[in-house]
Amino acid sequence: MPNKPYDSLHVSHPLTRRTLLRAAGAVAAGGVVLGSPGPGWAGVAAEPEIKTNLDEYMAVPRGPHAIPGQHPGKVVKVHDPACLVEDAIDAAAVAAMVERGIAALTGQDLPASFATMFTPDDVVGIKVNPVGPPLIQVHHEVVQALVAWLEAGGVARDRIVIWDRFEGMLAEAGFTAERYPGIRRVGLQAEIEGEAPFKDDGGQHVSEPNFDREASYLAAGVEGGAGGYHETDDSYLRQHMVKGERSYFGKLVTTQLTKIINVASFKNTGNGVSMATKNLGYGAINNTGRLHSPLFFRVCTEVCAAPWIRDKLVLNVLDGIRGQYDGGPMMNEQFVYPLRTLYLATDPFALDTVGHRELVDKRKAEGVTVNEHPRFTDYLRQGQELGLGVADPDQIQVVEA
Amino acid sequence: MIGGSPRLAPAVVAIAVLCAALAPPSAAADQRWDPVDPPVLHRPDDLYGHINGGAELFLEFGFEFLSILTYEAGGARYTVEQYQMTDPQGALGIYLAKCGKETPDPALGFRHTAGRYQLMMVRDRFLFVIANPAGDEAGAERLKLLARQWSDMLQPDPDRDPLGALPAEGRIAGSERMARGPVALDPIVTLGAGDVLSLEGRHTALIARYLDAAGAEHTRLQVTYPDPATASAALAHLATHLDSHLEPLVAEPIRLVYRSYDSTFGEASVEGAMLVIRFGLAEQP
Repeated sequence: MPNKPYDSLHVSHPLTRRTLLRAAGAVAAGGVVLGSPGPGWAGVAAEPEIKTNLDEYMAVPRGPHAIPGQHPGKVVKVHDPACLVEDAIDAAAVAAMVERGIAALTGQDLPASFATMFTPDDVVGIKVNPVGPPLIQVHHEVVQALVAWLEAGGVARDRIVIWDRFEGMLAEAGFTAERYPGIRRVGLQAEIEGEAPFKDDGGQHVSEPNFDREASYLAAGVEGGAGGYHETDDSYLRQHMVKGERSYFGKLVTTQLTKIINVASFKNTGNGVSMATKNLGYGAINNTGRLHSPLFFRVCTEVCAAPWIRDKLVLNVLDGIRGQYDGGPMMNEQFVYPLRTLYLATDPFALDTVGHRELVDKRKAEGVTVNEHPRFTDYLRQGQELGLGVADPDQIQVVEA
Repeated sequence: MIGGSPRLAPAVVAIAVLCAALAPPSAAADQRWDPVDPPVLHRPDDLYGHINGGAELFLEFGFEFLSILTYEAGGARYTVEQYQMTDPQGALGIYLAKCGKETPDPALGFRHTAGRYQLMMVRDRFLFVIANPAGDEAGAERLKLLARQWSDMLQPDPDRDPLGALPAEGRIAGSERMARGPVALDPIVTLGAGDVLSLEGRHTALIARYLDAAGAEHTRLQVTYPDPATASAALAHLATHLDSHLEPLVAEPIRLVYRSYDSTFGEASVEGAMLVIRFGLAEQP
């Protein structure tokens, strides 16, 4: 047994196929039985790395606000039992939590904090996660507190945009004109289900004009379109808009927003987390169906590395008023629990690292099987290697406010 | 909206019948379920549009179609999501992956877990997720009524419990899972990329955690293939595609032993037509 429990977040030198082949040879030389199942170990080649256009992103000089921002590796936790009592959320308590969190993150009061991230001329996009109403979506009380902070700093309401990838999900989660008067609510893509027409007269998806053909995420050889469960290209295009090996960023992100606040939910997706980096990784581009299987978590890092995200993302808020430790990313009441905590960071990778650790601990405490294979956290380490954030737990400072 | 694919036509008819049956003219007002809007149907190729990446687990277990019905009762709305799978094992596999620690109502005679917002039940080859968005106590009771009415219209569950093939001794109750491919396997263990166990969406892996006499825990996974040759081929495939974070220590035609990245051990062996894998072992077998 190991002297110290294994921690996937501390993996620094994961075994590679090459080292394993050496190990297998050493074992054989030592006399342990090493048979010959099928073609044998030596016949195994490493899987080819999928080429993306990450290098293009990284070649663009970083902007003054580029992640990890002014507080790399710093994560603020704000806990208040009063924010959620039974089913009732106390908006005033949540607003106070947001205020304490921002102040603890920047070390300054709210007006001064605002000035470190925004100017009144900014067009600020608040990226929410509307999936999982009524329990696990981003809570309105958090978003409203952020809106109030922006307004107090001088950003006009018509320069604030609440956005997500899907228009219908925003509405379903209550991001309505009635609740947010004067604030734009933008879904990059309309969901057109069933047999309803989804193409315009030119044969393009009706939401195609919302995406920027000059700003893409390339995954070479990973193509959307007919195949698998999609019998035809149209079947795929209805949901994913374009096929081929490029995903395109929403024009809202590339041409309109000057700053982004990323508000994610505290929940899992399968064996990993669906928190800060995934909220943007899969929320800002189209043609994502092709990416899930081969590149799932890597997309979270590499889309956040794109200049349109990297240089505009100034604040990340993880909404843990409620958490969901399993069954995500959709709402599953069985696994929803009152966490009554907000997490704030300029560094989305530090935030996800802390969130991952806490979610794994919760899953274990609840008796859920946890697969701590490094591949579920490799993307966080990739983010650190790229200079986009801090993922080494020993370098992360968690501040309770 | 209703999908117009010809292959869905029988399903549409069936759902229409069921909708009517849930609103009998003689029912008391507080027992009456009035359908709101036509059912929404999703096929395998557009399930992603409804539940995004969550669709992959359903597809792997043999998803045929989803119908979503909305009812109004007592001034509130309730939705019934009915996932039809190719077979009962597929429905049970999904249920086990999603049910968590079950909180059943003893008065309901079918496998389910109930909360205030959601009731999930599995019957025959159907998985139901019935939602009460208001989350109120009265609505939670209505979820159970609705579940019972749906259940009464379905075939009885098959007598045979597929999980009964797992050894009973030492098995940790509630730890049972099933898999037919990498998506379901992912939360439990990573043995290699892709369909490393050659499940092909057809063969079902049964999985559970066990405690030995000394109190040590490990996980057992077993797959019964059509014949011993297929089982041996599956082991050979696993051995040659073993994850790079697993170090092979012993590799024989019918047995593989490895050390894991977390310093635990695993052992895979073929017993007739069955591939048995035990992992998370504290000591090398």
